[in-house]
Amino acid sequence: MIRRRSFIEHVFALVAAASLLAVPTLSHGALSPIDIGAILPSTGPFAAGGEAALNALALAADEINADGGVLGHPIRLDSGDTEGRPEIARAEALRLIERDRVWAVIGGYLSEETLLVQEVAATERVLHIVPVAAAMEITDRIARDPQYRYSFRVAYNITQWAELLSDYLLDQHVHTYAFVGAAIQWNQELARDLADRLRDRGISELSRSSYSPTSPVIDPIVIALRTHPPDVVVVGDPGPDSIEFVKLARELGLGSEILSVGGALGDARVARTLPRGAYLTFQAAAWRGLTPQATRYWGAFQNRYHYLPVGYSDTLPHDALIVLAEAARAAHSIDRDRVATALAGGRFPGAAGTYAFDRSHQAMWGEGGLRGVVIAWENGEDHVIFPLRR
Amino acid sequence: MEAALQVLVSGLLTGMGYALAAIGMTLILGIGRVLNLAHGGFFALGAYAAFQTTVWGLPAVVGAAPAAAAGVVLGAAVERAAVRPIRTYPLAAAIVLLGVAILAEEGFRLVWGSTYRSVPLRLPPLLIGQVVVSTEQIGGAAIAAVALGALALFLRSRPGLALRAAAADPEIATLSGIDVGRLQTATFGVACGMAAGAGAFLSPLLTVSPTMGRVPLIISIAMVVLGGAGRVWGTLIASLVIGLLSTAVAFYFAAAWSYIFTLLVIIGILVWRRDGALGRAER
Repeated sequence: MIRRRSFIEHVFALVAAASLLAVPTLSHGALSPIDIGAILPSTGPFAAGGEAALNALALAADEINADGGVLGHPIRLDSGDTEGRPEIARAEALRLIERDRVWAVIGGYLSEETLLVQEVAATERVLHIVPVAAAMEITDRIARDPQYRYSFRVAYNITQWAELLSDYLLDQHVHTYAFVGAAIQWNQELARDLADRLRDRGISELSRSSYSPTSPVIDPIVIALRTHPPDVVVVGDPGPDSIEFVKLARELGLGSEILSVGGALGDARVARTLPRGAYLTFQAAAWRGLTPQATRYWGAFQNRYHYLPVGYSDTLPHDALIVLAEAARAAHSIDRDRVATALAGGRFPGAAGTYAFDRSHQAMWGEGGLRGVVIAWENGEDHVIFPLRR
Repeated sequence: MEAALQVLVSGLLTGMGYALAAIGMTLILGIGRVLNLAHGGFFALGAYAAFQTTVWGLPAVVGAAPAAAAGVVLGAAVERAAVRPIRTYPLAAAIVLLGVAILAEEGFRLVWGSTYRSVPLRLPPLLIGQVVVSTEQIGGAAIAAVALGALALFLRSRPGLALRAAAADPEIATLSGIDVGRLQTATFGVACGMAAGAGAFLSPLLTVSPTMGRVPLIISIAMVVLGGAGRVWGTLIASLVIGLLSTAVAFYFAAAWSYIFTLLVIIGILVWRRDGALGRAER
């Protein structure tokens, strides 16, 4: 009995000593952490994109913390899994904001999710950065209603994507193209916008095909494309079906260039498995080698996760957190109103370019701002082919 | 004419792909009286095995045999541990198997992550006249044909007769001295092995992801219901008809309509004949 009490006393003594040693570290260290909610799909059909985004956010948080945090406050990520379902995204936003008291939220992933997260953030007056979603409604409501003034979009909208696509097709002197994608709102809007831009500029849309995202039937689309092959097939599906489309297209002998709008076909691990010699291009927000920031980001991401980023669904979430931290530093405050004002009026460098927001809080496009790129996979190797630095 | 021929060939090959996924499901339903909602999980297991084989620098096809073997062993284990104790409650068994499917998805996510994976194509396509045929799809169809042929031969043998007796009436089969429980375990294991093998063989044409088993599962259920539960040839014919129909609708009308049209046909047939369009023909 005596020996047992002695043992317990020793344990208490050790714990007390450890606590005393720990106290100075905590007291002279950083200020209290700032929690940022990351509302992204970790499970469900969009989990691949969510996983990439969470990896990039963790990388950005470490970069910020290594640089002294936000005005001395370390950044801490608190994630909520949307499962790819808008109602779950809304519930997670409520949980993170009301229960966990996060300072800002980044997300969702789909436009449908993002609109609901945006509503919650507006009601609770919490800063909200849109990292990926492209629907116009997100920024339209910011321009319309001051309630949404805490929301900012670093992601490109559909108009900006269509602009990059059309510039590339014009640059390549393409005469015809076909649009293929899952039957979702994003593709329908993108296809319409692209066709409107190119109609009077000598590039014809030969066909527009969509398939069910839940049960895609791709063979007949490829057969139809083979009958009248376009110069370029624009694949507006960043999900898994785009990989199957490319494989089947090459299997059935479709020789047209396939241009993917970001997503899975930007993954080097996937590209290496695709038929050799196939001319496959994809659109991204940024790529290594274009700017020092992009090259640094690519290197850090590859060192940490042992694969290359895809230049969109990871790069923009990374920049979302960097921009948020820079805005707080510019505001010299973590007061949300002051940070929102700094975001609205400042310029913030990220891996994809310099972010400045217009009156609808959309990151601006063009000279001095974000540019976007087109990359070609040739036998598993990546090459930036547009815009060329002439 | 060339396009029509191409549609015909592609439709039939698509149908054979459906059949490959659905045959095991119909066996389990017919003999085990259980709807195997974990079937897609075994399909994905095979695809991941093929993917992992390519990571090690070997051809994906090398992964098919170990994947099928793993499917047999795991399938039999699931049947013994989770299905047999509640076999008399088909709804409970189906829900347990749905749980197994979710566990499998989470397992794939833990091991390989959520990222989409891709298995390289093995062989160049074939050009027959003006018709291009995917060698990968032909491979899948050949495997389905071999599996069906082997099954047909097996069903004509003495153990096959026992299997048919167990499918027709398990109680009378038991009274006749047939170990129905063992047969059900073996059938479940073999069917899961077939699903895993199918996943490995078809993986070069698919995108490998934790949830990739869901579409084959839904297609399998549809084909089994349409062809008649436990009726192998009915399932094959249903698969070919639906494969052809969905391809033709997508080509001549619109790809987005294909899924809707296929579902409408299935619903119509089930309302018309509750035990499947081909159910009575096989009796």
